[in-house]
Amino acid sequence: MAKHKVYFNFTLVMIIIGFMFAIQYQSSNRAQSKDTRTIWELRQDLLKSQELHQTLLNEIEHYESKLKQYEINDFDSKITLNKTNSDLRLTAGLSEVYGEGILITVNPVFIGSAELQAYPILTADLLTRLINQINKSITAAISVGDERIILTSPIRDVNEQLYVNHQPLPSLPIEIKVIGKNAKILMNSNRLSPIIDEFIIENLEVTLEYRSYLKLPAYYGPLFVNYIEVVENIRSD
Amino acid sequence: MWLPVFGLILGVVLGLLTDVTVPAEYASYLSIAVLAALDTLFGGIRAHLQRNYDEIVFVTGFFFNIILAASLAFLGVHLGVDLYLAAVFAFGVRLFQNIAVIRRILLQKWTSVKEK
Repeated sequence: MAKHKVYFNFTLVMIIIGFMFAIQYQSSNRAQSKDTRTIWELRQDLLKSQELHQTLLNEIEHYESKLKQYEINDFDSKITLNKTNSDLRLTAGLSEVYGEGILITVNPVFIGSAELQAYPILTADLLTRLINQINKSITAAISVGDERIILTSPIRDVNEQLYVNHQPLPSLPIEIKVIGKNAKILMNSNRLSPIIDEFIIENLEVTLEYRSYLKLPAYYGPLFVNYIEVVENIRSD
Repeated sequence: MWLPVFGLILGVVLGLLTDVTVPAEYASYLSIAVLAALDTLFGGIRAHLQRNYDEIVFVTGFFFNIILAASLAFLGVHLGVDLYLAAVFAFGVRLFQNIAVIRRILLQKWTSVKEK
């Protein structure tokens, strides 16, 4: 009997020790993730979260109004569906776009030097980086030459020839048209200066012109959506 | 013998399930309290093997040592002196001594059983 009592006491003590171990373990694990952001970084993160919140609210409002329209009678819903369809085609780049925008012209530059200079060519890498920089700055529809750039447009160098959407581009000068709500930002600020400098290194001159009317062709190529997945939780960084 | 081990596992599971955490500032108190508890436990096991076990001494010693160790750590923090080191040293030494005695007794028992 005494032995049972001893074991009972030991068991109680072991329970308490185990409990303390577990709490200690949990506390030390929690303590490792410390928030060391400064107040400025916190403000910026807060601002980003607020912007995201606003964007999401706008989207919710947009889809709710669409939903209301679908809920009205059949005929109206057909019109709404057609409108949704054309909106989506516009976003995807499958229809022509008109509007004010920026015309970017890439010209070859010939240095007067004693050595023979190879004709400057625009490489896929440079073009991709220019397009990425434009997309980073504004939301825009872009076309290069006669080819519309969509999300899945391939831009490749094939035998030293630039191919966009599986079509070869003509030689320089090449016109890149950008239509977007804030396209003027590209001209006024220095967003494209770094990439323009890289063009200059390759003997390519980039000029930006504001145009009140530009027309972008639609994308007519094949669409490969097999490997596209919906991205959840997009943060506008 | 399995009952205390089961008790340990039960305590750990309970602790993990309840999701209780201690603020980082007090984590050192908890660690010293754990050390004191372990010392008392091994002291109790040694006393039981030496047939000196006293229930009241064991239970009061358990809680008293924990409170003493935590108090020393608390005092040390406020005095700006690492007094918790004294507790760590003391309990650590006793822990090793108790374990050594336990090991000796168990070995004696095992050898005597083997001789029989």
